[in-house]
Amino acid sequence: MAQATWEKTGSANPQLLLRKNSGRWKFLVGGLLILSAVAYLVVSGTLTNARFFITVDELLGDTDYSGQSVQVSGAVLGDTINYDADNGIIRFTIVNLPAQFDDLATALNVAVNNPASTRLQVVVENSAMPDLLQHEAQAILPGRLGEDGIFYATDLLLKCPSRFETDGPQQHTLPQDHPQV
Amino acid sequence: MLAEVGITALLLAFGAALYAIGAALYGGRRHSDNWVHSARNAALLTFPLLLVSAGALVLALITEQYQISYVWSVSNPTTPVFYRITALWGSQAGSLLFWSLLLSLFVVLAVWLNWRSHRRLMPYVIAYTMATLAFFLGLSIFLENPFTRYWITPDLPATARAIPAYLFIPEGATAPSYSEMANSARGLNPLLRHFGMIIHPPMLYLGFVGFVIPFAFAMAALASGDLSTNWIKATRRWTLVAWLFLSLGLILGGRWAYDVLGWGGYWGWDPVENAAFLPWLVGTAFLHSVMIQEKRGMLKVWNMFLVIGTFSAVIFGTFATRSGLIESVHSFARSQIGFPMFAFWSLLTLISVGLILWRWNRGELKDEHQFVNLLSRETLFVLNNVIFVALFVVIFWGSFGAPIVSDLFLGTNITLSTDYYMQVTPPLFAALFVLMGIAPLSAWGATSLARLGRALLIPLLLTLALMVLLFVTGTTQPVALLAYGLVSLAGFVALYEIYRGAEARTRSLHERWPQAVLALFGRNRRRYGGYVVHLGVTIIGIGVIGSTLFQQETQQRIALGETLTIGDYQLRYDDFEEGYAADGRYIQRAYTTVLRNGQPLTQIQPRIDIYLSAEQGGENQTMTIAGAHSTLENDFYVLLVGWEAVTHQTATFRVYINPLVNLVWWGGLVLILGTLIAAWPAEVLPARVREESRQRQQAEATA
Repeated sequence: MAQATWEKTGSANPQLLLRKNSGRWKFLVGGLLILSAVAYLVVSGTLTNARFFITVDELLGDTDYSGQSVQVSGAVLGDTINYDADNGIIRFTIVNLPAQFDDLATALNVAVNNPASTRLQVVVENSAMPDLLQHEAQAILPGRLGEDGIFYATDLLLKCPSRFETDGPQQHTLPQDHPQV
Repeated sequence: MLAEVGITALLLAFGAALYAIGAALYGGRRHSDNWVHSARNAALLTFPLLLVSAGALVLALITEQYQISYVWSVSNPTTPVFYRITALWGSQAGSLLFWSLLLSLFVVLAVWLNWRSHRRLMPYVIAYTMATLAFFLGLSIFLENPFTRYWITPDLPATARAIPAYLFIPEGATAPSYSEMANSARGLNPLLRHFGMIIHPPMLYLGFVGFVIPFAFAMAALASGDLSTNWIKATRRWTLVAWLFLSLGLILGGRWAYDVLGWGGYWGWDPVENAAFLPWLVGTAFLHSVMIQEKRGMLKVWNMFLVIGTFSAVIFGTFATRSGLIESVHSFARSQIGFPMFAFWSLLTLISVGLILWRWNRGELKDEHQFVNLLSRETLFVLNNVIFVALFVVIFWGSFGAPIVSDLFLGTNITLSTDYYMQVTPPLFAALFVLMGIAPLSAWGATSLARLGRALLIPLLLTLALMVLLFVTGTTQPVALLAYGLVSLAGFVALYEIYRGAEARTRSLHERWPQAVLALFGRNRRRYGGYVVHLGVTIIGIGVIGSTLFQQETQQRIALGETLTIGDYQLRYDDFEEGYAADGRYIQRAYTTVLRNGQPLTQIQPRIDIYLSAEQGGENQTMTIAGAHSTLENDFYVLLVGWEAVTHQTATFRVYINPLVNLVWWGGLVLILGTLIAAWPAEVLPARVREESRQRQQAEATA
């Protein structure tokens, strides 16, 4: 009972009201500080780590990109893959991925079979040999284009959509190497 | 036959879900018990129907009915039975069906368990959950149907490359020959043949699906006007269970990446991984902030936003990773479900936010207390929420925001490297650990600095002692020392709180120690279960710091009998063998011995599995399976580098030493244990007894 009365007078107490208001200020300032700290983190993080995600054609077609940190994507040519196991250096060539295909598997297939596709030599240092690095895989490579025209990648990400996702079984009347329609 | 059974059950479940939405809404509006009962029965019916549908698919997988397109795409005659069953979630169409099955299971349980206690919320809970279920069933039926079958129709041109799949048998169609289908079947991606991958998707789905329940209850509270803490009480355990599964799914996914992908790490900040982490972040914030609403009646609007945020993140994550919206190394197919998912996600988010604004405008979501003290527990919890949401925002921005914004507004494609996350997230994680250390010691309402300081004294001293010990034993990097210190403070606080509670019992009740600890946990499962979770997170944190900051690696080619050296370890190449395994894969295996300072520790066999599919027109797939010697101190992780150079004479090995990495998994187990303690139901009286006591209370109240 006594407690209830105390609470009632308490909430009407002007001093307590004042304290509440000063409390609000503290919360506001604190909130703003946190907000600006997070905003700073995001902006600075974005500025230092953002890079253009481009195709081989775009990379070679615009001199602005050379020497700049970018991420390039292309289709891997299987017979160019070479691995220096002693030093962990992978060398291979990718070709430009055409943009007009919705389906990645088709785009990759068209790219590697088109002799006119723009080619780009790639070097990846200090890397194990990834299981997925093979003909017709999509390589996503962060790195820089060197003055020697070779792309020095800092990492190697690979995608092989063709392997486990195809249209369906083929008609058995056709030879396996029948061209795609 | 199985396809017909499966599709019929699927269609019936879809119908039942649609009916349940209509009946529930109508019954809710009209306060008609009969309609609400009817809606409930329809909702309950979806589970057995989906069980039949998914069962038919599993049976088709086991009995190798390759004419069914899904069976053809995820299995082949060499697939072991175990993987045939788990192939139910091996690809998109099956996982969508599996998702729906789990959702309907959760709905059935939630409706059943809360039917009496939260009667007023029920019509809307049914409507919301059934709307979600109907949406996913719609995707399964119209866009990603696992039951389509291959048919050769008379009008199929001889030049057509692929045999088309149909849901209904076309006129005059003949089935393609069984052997032809069996021989060309794709088989399960070998990368997915790992225990982590077998249980990782179901765990993640259970987590995702589980968050639908608190969301539906929250929305039901808004729709029905029962804005008390009823919805929170009803869903607290659901939230914990969903959170548990989501955490488990994330940990298992990390374990799978660590074991199978062969790069010595477990988290790569890939958009797909992040998409699963985002709901976890908001969900964790929600778990904490609902406590404030329960105890103090505050943050009502905020909690609503968090529960919508969690659900939104679940749907958005599913949408973003399956629509081809974002480039990710996880090669999910681009599929047609992108747009419908986006539409569904926007619609539900809009409706939910609209409901909140409507109730808020009517003044029904006013908080009962104000924030007054900067060190009160509620303030610290809010701070914890802010940090969780900040983490959500920065990770969302990095994985989705920046690429989408640059694509839409700048006409370019901009991505952020993994360094972005390594730069932006550590300060926020550090802040979380600090809060995890301080918040449990603060009091509701207000805490004085002096009181908090006194409570913190012993954990702080223990932390300092640990830092000194680490420094003396050779960890001199300031960053590492600071990181270990911040993380272990939270752990020490959790331990100290448990100790204090038990010690008080031994003193006042003269209980013995084990008895006191048990009683302590029994009396307040939520609180002490929470401390155990904090302890688990601390252990994970220590593992992450150790394995991130102190990883060592080397790659060397050595001849048979030679050793390579890394740190104070050596690896000796003893022997090599290769040959075909029973399931047709070709295995190259190296026998090696791990030595430390010249003393042999153990033998490990890193290997390369080659899944031959060249004869089927595909390329062979190689899988590098690491060999590891695991101790609490570190993992000695060896990869046989697969290249032409692998011979009986020489082989190339890539070796990682990952300090403390096993603490990540052990911490995960502690976290699970803690969550189970916190979520474990208190002794429940039989329904009859509860009903009697309820009636007695009612009688007393009316008397």
